[in-house]
Amino acid sequence: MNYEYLFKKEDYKVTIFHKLEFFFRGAIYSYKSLFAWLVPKVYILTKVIGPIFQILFFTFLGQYYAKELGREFFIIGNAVQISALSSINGVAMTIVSERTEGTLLQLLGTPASRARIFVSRSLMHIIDGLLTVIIGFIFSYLFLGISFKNTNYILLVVTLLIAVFSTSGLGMLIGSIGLAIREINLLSNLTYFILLIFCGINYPVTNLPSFMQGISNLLPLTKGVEAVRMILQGANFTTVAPYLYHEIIIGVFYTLIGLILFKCLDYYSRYSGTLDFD
Amino acid sequence: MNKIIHIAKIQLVMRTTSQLWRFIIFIQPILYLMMTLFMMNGSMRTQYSMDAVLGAGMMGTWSSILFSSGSDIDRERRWGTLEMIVGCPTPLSSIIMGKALTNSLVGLFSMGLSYITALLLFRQQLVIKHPCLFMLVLILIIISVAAKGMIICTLFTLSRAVRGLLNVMENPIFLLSGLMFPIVILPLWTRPLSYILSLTWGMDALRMVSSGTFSYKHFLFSLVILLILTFLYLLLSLWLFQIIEKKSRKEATLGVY
Repeated sequence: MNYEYLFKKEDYKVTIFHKLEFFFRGAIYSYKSLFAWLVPKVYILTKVIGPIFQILFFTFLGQYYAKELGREFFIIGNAVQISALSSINGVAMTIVSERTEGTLLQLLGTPASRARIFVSRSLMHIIDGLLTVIIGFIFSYLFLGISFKNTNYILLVVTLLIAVFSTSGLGMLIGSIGLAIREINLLSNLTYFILLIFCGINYPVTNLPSFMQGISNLLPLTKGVEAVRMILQGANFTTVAPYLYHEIIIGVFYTLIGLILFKCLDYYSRYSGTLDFD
Repeated sequence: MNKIIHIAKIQLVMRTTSQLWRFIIFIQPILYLMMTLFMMNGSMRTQYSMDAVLGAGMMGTWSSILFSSGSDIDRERRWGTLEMIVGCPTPLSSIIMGKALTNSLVGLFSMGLSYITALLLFRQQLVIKHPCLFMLVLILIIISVAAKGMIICTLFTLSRAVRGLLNVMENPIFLLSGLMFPIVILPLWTRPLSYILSLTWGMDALRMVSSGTFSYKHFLFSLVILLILTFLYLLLSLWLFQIIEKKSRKEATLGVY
């Protein structure tokens, strides 16, 4: 039976503004309802206190074992890397929570674009990750004596946004994998450590064996952290541009892989009807 | 004693089913060790690899105590077995002691794996100069960390507010106990906080006997403080257990608070 005659065409026509509205609404609602750390006390403990202690631990560790690198090396590296709490753990958690909270079936039952659903899950976490880095930098400025004297602030914020976006691409990929496996916490924790080991956070990438350096270049944050260190020493856009392009390409690559996996699981769920099971 | 050993065995079997626990014991310490060793240049690596292995092993012990003992009572509560455990003739403190001993003992796996990693992947020569004293100190540390685990377990049971700290207590203790580096590089005002942690004294003694460069006076001092702190931890935990039992009998809210 055709019910279309009941509506005027303009009543159900979806414009670009509607699509944008859906995108931002999806981003905000998924963050508010599915992010387990959003309770103020848990948020402060996990996203502020915890990261600050990570910065302190690795700064003192570096000061003892690799004094020649200077304490700023460790402070900057960790202040940027702590954004992975949002961009890896947060993004992955939000995607996987759709299943644990029982909303995945309804979500996949809607006619909305899979790409829009998928990418909107990361938007708030990119902003949140940026906020975590800013808190880390403010703490480091106030208590650890990090200097921003020669820093181009706009370039710094843009670089941080790109670095967090790039990491959230990896987070989205992990979230998609999390729809197919049980222990997503294990995978996101492991990824957090992989970034610490491979991305030149606490030592130059050149300290790693050559095969590990190859992996470093395929991971987000490696070039981003390097660019942030250069910006704090006074580098301009022309100098850091290649690092930023590299970071953007890595971010887009992981987002696309994650989206393809998400679509494959979506297709598989329709085929087998098992996606909602743990 | 038999009961405690039996409980410890069951705890070990049950914990091995958790993938996150396996990550904390078997993988995380190795990752910390790798980061520390990659940080060092050649000569530093030769000099400090053993310290990094000991630190990584102790990190595994602490993380295990924090995440396992911290949630032991809460886990029983979720499973609906807490009331039965409290009601059984074996005191709750003995049951938790058995669990905490396992949680602490498994840190030996972390240390063993860290040792093998440094030996095989980084080709470091790792020598323990006084193996007998090393074992003695290690056993005392394990008992001491288990006692600390009992305190954590009771505190996390008594207060929801304290339970929120579970996820952020890892790095502060790594830092304050000087697991990876001596506490002298920390600001002076943190020293009292470090001194009330038995791990600080245990690590100090462990480093001395592994390197072989120490005075017996200094070693004995660290050992005596370690023993005193362990004793105090045990007393504190027993007192906290009494509070839990009284509270649960009086208010009958064991399964819900």
